[in-house]
Amino acid sequence: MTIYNEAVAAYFHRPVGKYAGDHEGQAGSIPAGTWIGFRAGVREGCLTNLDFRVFACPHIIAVCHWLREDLEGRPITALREFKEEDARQKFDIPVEKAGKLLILQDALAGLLASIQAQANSG
Amino acid sequence: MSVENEQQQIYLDYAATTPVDPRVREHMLPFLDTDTGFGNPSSVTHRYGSSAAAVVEAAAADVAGLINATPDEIIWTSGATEANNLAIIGSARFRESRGRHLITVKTEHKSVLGSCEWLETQGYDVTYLTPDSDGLVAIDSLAAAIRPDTVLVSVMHANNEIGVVQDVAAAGELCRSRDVLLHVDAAQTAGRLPIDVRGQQIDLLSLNAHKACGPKGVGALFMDAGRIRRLDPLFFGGGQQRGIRPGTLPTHQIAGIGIALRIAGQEMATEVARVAGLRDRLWAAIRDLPGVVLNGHAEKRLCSILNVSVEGVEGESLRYALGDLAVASGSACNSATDEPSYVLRSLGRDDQLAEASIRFSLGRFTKADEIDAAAAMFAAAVVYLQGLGNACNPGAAA
Repeated sequence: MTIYNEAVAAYFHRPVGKYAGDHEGQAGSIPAGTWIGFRAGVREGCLTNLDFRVFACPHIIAVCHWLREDLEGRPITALREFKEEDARQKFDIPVEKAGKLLILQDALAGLLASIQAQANSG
Repeated sequence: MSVENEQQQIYLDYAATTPVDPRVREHMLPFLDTDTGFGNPSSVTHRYGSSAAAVVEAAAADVAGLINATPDEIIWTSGATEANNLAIIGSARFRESRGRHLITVKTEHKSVLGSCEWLETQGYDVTYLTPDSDGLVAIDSLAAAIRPDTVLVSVMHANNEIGVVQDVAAAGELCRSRDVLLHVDAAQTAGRLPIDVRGQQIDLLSLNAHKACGPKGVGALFMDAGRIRRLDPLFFGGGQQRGIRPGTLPTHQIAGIGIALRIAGQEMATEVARVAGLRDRLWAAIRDLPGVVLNGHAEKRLCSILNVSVEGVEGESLRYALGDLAVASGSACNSATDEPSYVLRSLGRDDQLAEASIRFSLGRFTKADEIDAAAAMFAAAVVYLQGLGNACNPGAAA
């Protein structure tokens, strides 16, 4: 039986945007139980219109909302700075869900790679 | 924690347990008193014991009356789990000279499956029938599974997760014609479906009180006196109940199951119609939500259970989004086990649908406004979670 802390309750149900940014990173799969996608635009080296879509447990949904708010407007390199330990502590995420946080990390890395690929090609 | 932050608490988990009816509670209380009714029903040499014995006899008459049995065919247990264990293990052991093969269904309650699995460790052979995608067992498949060494068939009356009702009368006719005992787990159906052990040719039948607004901790096993001489006991002790289930009888609990099942029988006709109406009201309110599918046969089901799965929604989050709505979930993270519902998997549902399933179960104290509120809470949760996942593209994902 999973227990959820107050941070999960606070972040679980918040508005999301249109998921319409130019760049996308996604990871996971529905059959595996967790899928996460992030989209964002870039203006002057900073993230804009950061948004996500997710098929995951309440902990991961809450982390996605938290990251959406935390990363908006920050330099794109902030996508690299996500530390799963910070999320695990803030949302009291059980250790058996560590793999889901790695999927989330992969989705963020995919978004950064998408942004950098376009910058390099341009 | 909730989708709307402020939700009312609504209890729709009657298939797990029910509130004790105040009439049942009042009936039980005198038998917990210090100067009345506390006697040992086996100590009939004095008035304390004999008056307790009279209470037990009256309760046996009530329980027997509900199922068209006689009071001497009722064995008291701690609940339906023990009754199922005693019926299956007790009859298999006692009849093992006739054969060591049993038949049951993959969607039975864990107490039936667990008893069968234990017998397998003791050298018995068990056939587990697979139901169809509606949860029904074909009588032809049961007939084909019966062997010369089959001693017992165990089929539940109505499934505790999806509410599908099996044709136990047909199973009874078949088993009787092949001289095989039929055990029926009726934990969910007492007071919700008519039970006639004679007409349906049932040899052993498990009942409990707490699914029928009675107390927890008491159940009953019907044992056809004309067909079954005895069962091997699971416990050993003072010889009560002919040694089949020894132990001091809990007078207050037995009084509780007696009146609970008497009330359930008396009110069955009106209650079934009322509760079925509420179940249909709930289904009508949520059936058109995108991705919502009904689990189990649309018509051959209990009045009180509605089980649905939701496509494109993660099970644990669905349960969480429902907040204080007290329902059961197929999500492994919200159950006592570490796997999604084996019942829904047996029906052919994939892991996602088995996980994202909700069982609404209604009962005596459920009101229409609670159904409307529950439907609204469910709809809000589904719409929110499907919106969150609407860009999922698993084909493109790693």
